[in-house]
Amino acid sequence: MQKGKIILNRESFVRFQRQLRYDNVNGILHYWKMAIPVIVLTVFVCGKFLSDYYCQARELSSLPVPSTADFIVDMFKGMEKYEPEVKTKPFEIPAFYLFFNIYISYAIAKYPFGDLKGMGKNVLVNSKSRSNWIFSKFVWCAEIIVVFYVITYMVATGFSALTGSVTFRLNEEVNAAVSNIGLAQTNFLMDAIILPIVTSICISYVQLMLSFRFNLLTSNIVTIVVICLSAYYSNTFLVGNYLMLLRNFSVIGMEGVSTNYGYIICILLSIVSLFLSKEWFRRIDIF
Amino acid sequence: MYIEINNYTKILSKTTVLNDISIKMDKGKVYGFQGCNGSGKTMLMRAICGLISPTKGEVIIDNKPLSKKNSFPDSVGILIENPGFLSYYSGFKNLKIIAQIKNMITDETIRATMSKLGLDPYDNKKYGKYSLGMKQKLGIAAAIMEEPEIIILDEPFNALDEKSVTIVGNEILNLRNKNKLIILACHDSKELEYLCDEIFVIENGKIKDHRKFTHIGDYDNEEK
Repeated sequence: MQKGKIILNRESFVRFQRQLRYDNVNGILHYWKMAIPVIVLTVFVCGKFLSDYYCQARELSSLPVPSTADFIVDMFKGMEKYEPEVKTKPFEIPAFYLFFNIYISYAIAKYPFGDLKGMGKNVLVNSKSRSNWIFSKFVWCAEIIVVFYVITYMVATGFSALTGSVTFRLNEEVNAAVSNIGLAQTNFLMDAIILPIVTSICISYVQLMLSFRFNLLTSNIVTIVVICLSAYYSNTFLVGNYLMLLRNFSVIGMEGVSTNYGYIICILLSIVSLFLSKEWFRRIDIF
Repeated sequence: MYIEINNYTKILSKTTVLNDISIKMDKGKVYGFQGCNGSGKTMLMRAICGLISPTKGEVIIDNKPLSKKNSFPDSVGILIENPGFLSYYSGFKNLKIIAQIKNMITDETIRATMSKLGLDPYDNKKYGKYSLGMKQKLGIAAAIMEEPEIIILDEPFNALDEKSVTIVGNEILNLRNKNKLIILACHDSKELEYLCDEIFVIENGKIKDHRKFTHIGDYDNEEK
């Protein structure tokens, strides 16, 4: 009996691997066109940063050339905490923060449900497991987000190659003069690289969960509202704040959101979304 | 292999799409669901392959009820509504992707199935450029290539020319002779009567009539 169960589990795992391979091929390799808007957006943002840098460099002749890390920090700096009572500071959501995250939301919504309307239905029935299907889609979701982020780093690397400084070492002077931000090198990896990825994965997992419980439109609207509200309010529980370095404790001190809380909240939300999605997908009718 | 549907009711947005349906089906037979558009044929097929869950009642396959833990039948091939494939791959590559999930059949078996249905397995034409009839045949090939115990074909003759209808009809009878349980949905009673051992007429989600036939042997569309 025990042996039979082990064989069954192994078979289920093998089928999961096959399902995942299917999603990787169809949801990533053949989804390459989805990367084009990310490249265009990143090129635009990096280009603007470079132009701002040259403006500053004219005034400050000793300014070092921007590194890859400087481009990345500028891209993910987001916006300063918004204070409605300060009339001189209008509410302007940064273009990269807004469009990049809304685009991720769109890309995440597109593939799983499209797949279920087409060949995915045959694959699902053949794989015999709704759990495998949903877990595979969650892994795919994390993978595509990492791919999108890697694309932004690659574009940043390309731009820094133009300036001749392909390195992940931050230049404090460049950050202060061009991006108006001061991030310590020691916090770069955890705050500027990993935290935004973990947060984006969390937002996408919640979106997937809502799409299984309600529908695609509702889940997309909720994501966009969370992204906009996060820009308006600096709050530990509005996870969009963890996507903006200018809202982070390590950049603005006590008024900022904590990186540690960010990791805890995002990981917990992701796990809850995964298990709720699994439960809801078991009951969902597939037409 | 048998399928038992007991008092199956499905209500969607306050509309009863399947109403207290009870049917028994055995291996080695072809069953037909006949009814006009929206009568509930496709919905009943979805219920049998586990894509929808009942509001009331159950589907039992070989003593195992379909449930949250056992969502799908062990061995089933489906063509429900329009076939959906990846437009950037050839027909063969599409079938191979589906076959890789179970990894039970070889490339040769896939090619043989395609050839049987009149598709060229070595044709590199992408699925997106297939004609409607070719798409339909590929959908049928996907459902039957692994020779599953249960084969569910929803409107399999859609978009097929007369020759292809004959080929598909004969293939259905071949599978019947191999002891497979085949379920067809069609609104054309002539096709069903030629192929099926039993026909269930569905109207507004209810079984209105149940007819049995003596099987006539080879299927030839020309004779009709």
